[in-house]
Amino acid sequence: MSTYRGVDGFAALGGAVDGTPLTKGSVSQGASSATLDGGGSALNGVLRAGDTFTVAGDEQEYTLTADVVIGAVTPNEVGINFSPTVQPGGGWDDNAAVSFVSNSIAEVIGWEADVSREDLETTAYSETSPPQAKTFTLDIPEWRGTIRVQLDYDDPEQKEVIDLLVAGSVPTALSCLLATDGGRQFWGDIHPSSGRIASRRGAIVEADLKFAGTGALTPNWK
Amino acid sequence: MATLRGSDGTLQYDSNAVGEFQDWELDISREEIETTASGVTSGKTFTLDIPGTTGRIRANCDYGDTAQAALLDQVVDGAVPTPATAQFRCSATKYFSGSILVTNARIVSQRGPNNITVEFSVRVTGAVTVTWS
Repeated sequence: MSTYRGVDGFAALGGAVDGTPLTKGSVSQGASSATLDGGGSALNGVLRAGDTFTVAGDEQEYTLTADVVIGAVTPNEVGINFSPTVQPGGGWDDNAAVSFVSNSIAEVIGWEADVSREDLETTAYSETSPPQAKTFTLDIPEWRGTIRVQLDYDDPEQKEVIDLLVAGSVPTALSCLLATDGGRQFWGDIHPSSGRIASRRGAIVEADLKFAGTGALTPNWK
Repeated sequence: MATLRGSDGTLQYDSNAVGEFQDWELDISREEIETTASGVTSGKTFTLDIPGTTGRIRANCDYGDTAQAALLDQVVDGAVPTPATAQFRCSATKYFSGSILVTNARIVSQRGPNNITVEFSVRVTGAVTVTWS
């Protein structure tokens, strides 16, 4: 059993890697998939479609095309799919360093996730044995939450959320990851639904960015 | 007569103790149904509906704990739920039990001298039984 300090938490619009990913085996020019590992060290986290990365010796930036949980199949390993295909003529070497672009939201001071299933009463009349207590089942889940930040519209992730809030267009869901620390997260897709920005004399300007989850909220705990 | 300390309380879910447990609440209620007949002036009269029970379980969040994971999985999974027995314990021999469904989980991470916490709201399906020895 363990406890986790709030100060070690963070939030991201996308995936997050805990460890130092390396290519496992060489990868040929034209490939659109690869296996990464921690080179003998721990590698954990969740990678989301849209996450971007570079590989040592290759200036091309690549984008993941599918969500994947590191270690879901083999501990400390992950298979990734990406585009464009591997560009250099010599491909990627074995154990080449892979650098993912951080998706962390800057200046986060707290987050909340609130997942619910509405209770549906199933108590029924019975001629022979009237019910003595109410009975229930549950509807499918829904979730929502809040990310509390010190306002910084220069941060690309804060800006992405605020821009979605102020735009009137049909929203595109954002990848979201709420972490207790590097190896333990809850992840899913969100629609930002409200933002409360407060400027008070004697305090840092803060924003409560509320969101509605769309689809499942998934724990990943290593 | 005796008093019971909250610090001796525990929560068992599906035969596993909830790890990093902090506190629990159980709220048993029977809705009142008015039976006052027209013309009565001496005061309203009532009977009661059958009982319905809700509760809350609070812990420092640890999805690595078997009982916490089972509680959280029940609310994040959209499948038809399978209730499991929970014992809301004042001590090892004094407790309330019932079959519970998790209706809400609220996980809070906050900067400062705070642990990351989880609060489960539950609905008891069926009767609550009391064991007191």
